Amino acid sequence: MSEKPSYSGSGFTSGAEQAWCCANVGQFIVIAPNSNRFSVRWSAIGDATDWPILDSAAARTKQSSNQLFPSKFGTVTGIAGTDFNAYVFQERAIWSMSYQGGDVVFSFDRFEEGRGCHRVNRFVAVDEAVFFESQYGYHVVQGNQVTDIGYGIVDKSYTPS
Amino acid sequence: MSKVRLDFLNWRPDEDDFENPLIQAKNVLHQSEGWVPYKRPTAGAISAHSTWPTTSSMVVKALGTGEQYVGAWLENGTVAGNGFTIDLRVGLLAESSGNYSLTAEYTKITSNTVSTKSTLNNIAAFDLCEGHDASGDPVVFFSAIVEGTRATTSASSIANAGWSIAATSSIGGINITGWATL
Repeated sequence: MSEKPSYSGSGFTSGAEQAWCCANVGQFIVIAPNSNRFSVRWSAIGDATDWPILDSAAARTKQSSNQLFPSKFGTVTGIAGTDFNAYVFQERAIWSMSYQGGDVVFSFDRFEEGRGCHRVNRFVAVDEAVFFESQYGYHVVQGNQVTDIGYGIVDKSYTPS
Repeated sequence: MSKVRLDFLNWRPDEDDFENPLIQAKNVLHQSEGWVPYKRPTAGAISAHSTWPTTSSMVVKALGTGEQYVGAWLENGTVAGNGFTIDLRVGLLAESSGNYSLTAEYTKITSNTVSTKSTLNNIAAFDLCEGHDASGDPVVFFSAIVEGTRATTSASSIANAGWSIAATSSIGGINITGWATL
């Protein structure tokens, strides 16, 4: 049986920034905000309902911040989170997002240019592996290594949409 | 979201007929994640269910216990003078034998007038994840976006002042982001 909680739907609160995708990364909720499609923003630590104003004293205290990415790699199209780390997908790049704490909060390292998630949420995480669609075909990223899994007949019959 | 994708996860090269290219099409990427898109359910179990008499597009994702799902769906409104009005709703659903019934509605944006172009009345993005609030209570965090261009941008049409719409963007006509706790 699932150990997940049962949701009743009561107690809705609002105010979070509009977003294209979201993910749980450790004690944070990370979103790709609609206000800047080339960035991610994360909540206060330990509280998915608390989104303090960026760069405010409250944000620094609660480790809430954001990260901008180079626009040449396209918009942010997916966030695949785990307990401490995440992959942030742009249309043509992949970033490793690692929790550091302190004033830095998260560090970001781009380890792939060219292959990315070419449309919003065209990926699925299975344990430590994340399968995704790029403009070239199907791939899997694991341990910051990208592998082409559709080489041959699959990619030949693949049409990006 | 409604496009065809290959069933590569179930592909068996040793059993494949290379004279015939793969033709099986399943939305495996999202099915594996539990995200099931339904577009214009004008026939079948969903449309027949009394909960969804005017639903034109819906996506659901498994969450919680048993047969619980969180879904985002569009409901057709009326044809207004400057376009077509739709409601975007997000809520908790219960599934039984392919039918979805509404358990609780989290939030909604109603009476949004959008263009009547045929490509506009679709949910462009829907995502959710689980987290906790400051008390440690579980939280479901969600976001939903309808592609399209709003014909009007009046804030007075927003049903709940706690959230707002993506105004005049050429994509992301209507957007809900929020959370629900136990």
